[in-house]
Amino acid sequence: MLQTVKKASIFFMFFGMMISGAVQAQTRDSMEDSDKYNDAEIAAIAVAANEIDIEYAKIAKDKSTNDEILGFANTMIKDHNAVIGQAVKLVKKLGVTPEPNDLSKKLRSDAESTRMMLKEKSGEAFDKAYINNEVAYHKAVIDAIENVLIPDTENGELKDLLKGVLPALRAHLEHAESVREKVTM
Amino acid sequence: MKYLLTSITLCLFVSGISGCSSSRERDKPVQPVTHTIVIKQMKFVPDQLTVHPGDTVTWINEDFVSHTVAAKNDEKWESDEIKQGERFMLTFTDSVRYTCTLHPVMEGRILVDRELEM
Repeated sequence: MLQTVKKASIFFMFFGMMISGAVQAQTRDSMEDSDKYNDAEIAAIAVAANEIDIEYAKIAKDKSTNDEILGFANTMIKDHNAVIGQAVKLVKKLGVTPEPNDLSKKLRSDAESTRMMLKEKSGEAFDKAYINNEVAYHKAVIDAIENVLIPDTENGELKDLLKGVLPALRAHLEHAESVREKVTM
Repeated sequence: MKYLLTSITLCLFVSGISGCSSSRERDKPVQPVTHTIVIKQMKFVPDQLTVHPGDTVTWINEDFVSHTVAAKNDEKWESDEIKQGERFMLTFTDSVRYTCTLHPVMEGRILVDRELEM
């Protein structure tokens, strides 16, 4: 349990705080193998992260009337479902069962509070809150995949899948930043 | 003297052949060609392509997310969703800047070179 808490703490240090690359590298180097996630846990975290963004997008489709927001939300639903499809196909091939863990559960419970916050807003306030969250969420996910999940992954195909997802996430981030400029003008 | 005449004759003959050949090259209609642009890692590769008028361009999607190909700004044409492994083809007579409507950060350009039409 202590190890799980330690792993989760390290992950959220990456995921939530956006600390400098130098500090990140130092932290990863000083970790022991027991502090790392196994492939089954990483698969569960990856699926959770994609499902969370799909849920945010579904709220946006219900609440927004802004074409830029709706277009972005549609793309998030399509792309993150495609990533989940790839992940499911791979874990079946590898015979790995994604292992829900304290971290994937924490991601989901934190997302629940974000969903509540979004549901309380409407109109322009909703649009701004949604797209600000998307910018922050994608930055955090990219950072976590680059600095935590890819280094921890043992299986080559799972590692390749995570690397393969990064260009799409970077495009999402750039798209979100462009929508945010238009929405907050 | 004989050597000089032979050289001049040979030069005229060679330049005549060369001239005829150039003229034939100019008269020969350019056959339309099909070019390929691969969509991978959220980019059009190559993102700029010069073609002859009447050439066809085929986009092949190698990403696992779907894409579209659509003229930018003037909205003259737009593909349906291109899923992984699928392709979209279009013949060009005019230059165009294009994008993916699902991922507007992706951009490309087809340049139709009218001088290549001769």
